Amino acid sequence: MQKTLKLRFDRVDMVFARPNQPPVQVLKSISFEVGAGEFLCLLGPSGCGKSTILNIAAGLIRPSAGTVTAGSHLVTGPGRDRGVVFQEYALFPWLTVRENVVLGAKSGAGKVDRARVDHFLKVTGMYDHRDKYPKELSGGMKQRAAIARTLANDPEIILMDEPFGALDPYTREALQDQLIEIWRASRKTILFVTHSVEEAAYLAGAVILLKAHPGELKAVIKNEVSWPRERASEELIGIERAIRRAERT
Amino acid sequence: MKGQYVVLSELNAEFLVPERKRLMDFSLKNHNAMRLYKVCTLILFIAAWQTVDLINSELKLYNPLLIPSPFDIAKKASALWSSGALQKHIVASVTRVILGVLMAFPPAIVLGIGIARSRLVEVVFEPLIELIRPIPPLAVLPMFILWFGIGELSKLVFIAFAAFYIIMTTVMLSAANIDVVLIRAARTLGINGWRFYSTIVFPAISPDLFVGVRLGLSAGFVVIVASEFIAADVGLGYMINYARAYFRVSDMFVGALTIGFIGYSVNMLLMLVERRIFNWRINDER
Repeated sequence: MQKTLKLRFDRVDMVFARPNQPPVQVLKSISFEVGAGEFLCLLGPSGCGKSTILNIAAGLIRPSAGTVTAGSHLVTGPGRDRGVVFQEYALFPWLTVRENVVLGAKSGAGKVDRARVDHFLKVTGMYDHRDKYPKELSGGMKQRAAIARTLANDPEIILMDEPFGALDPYTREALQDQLIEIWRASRKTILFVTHSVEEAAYLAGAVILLKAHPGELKAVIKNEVSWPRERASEELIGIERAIRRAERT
Repeated sequence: MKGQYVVLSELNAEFLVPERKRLMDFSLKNHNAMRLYKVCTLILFIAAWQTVDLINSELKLYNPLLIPSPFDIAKKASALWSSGALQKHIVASVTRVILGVLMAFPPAIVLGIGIARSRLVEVVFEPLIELIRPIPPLAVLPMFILWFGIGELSKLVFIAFAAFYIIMTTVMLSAANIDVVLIRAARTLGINGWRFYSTIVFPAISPDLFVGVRLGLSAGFVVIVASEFIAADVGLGYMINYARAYFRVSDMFVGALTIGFIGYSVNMLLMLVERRIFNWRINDER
């Protein structure tokens, strides 16, 4: 069966020019594919260019060489088909939670679907906090609001750049579970950047392991453990072990 | 281990000492008291001034015509107020400042945002703006009078000129420093073109823009006097200059103090409004 591709990297290079210094190669010949409904994790140490990959996929930066295809079109800039969840939440501080989500939902059609906005506020558990300003929210709540905003924009693929990196471990686990619930209900395609082996093993259907300097694909580890998954279960520890083994080679 | 314990307990002991009763409490908690002390300073200063004047009326140390007493100034102010002259001058000056700043507002916003967010606008306008910036507004006032006449227009343009640079600079810095993540978020949400400016850039810079307007108004009150010295038949600057010609020192004091008072009140009022409407700001812990 031919799977529908949502995102495809084809030999993507990224070289950053620096003033008075030799240019630095951040990505070297990165190729991978994300199929519809997949949950893919990009995992690697800092400096492996995983955030750069995400920014290229989002269309926020242009690769030096190679092509990126989203759905059936070439990525040339940011677009509504690729929603991004940032580590820094990126909520607009002058808007309430609800207004932030509305802004996402309004982007294309012009008209706001109230029911839709409310739906995603409820799904992320932010409905009761909808009239608060970002500064009144905890980190976890901010990220839930940001996820609601991205979902309301109805992207084909959700790009997440270490979204739970700044959260405490308890909040992180709660948000991971919530994300999985949303993903399983909506069957959205997710590309998730993390530097936590544990997080990658728990969330992903497949883990793309990267090495640093320059950022290169090192291995792809499939994770076919069925949902619901149990943290620290034998199977997941097995996946973690496989990832760590691949890291060392 | 034991030594450490002793040190720690000594440290703690310092916190446990009951606070000494002080005549004046300068601690941070005591916000209202600080305000009261400051008002006391002002009252003491005025009282001292009045006392010096009283002593001087006996000893004749200096010419009392040159430095009137606070009481004389207050008396003069109330006379000018009840005759309606003071209000007339206030209204004229305040109207000029407000209209002048309003004139500066649109070009300052457009160019400030433009220079910060567009390379093309930056290349075309920044060199010209930087060329003119160091020129003190007073230096161009005579030219403005030649170009725009001695009527209202030259004064408005003059105030606009002085306020423009302040508002434009605040807007430019603010627009250049909008959090990159917010801009990226907007782009990925598909917010482009005019919508990007109206829903992202403008709200993001609005607190700083407000500060810019506040500073622009202050600058307006600083320069208004000069333009009213040269060519005017009403306004606080005119009032001061006219009083100089007739050696009415109390009138001069009233005029100067009135401008100071208006400038201070406008600033306070706008700061109050600012805190109200921009309460979404993250570092708003005052």
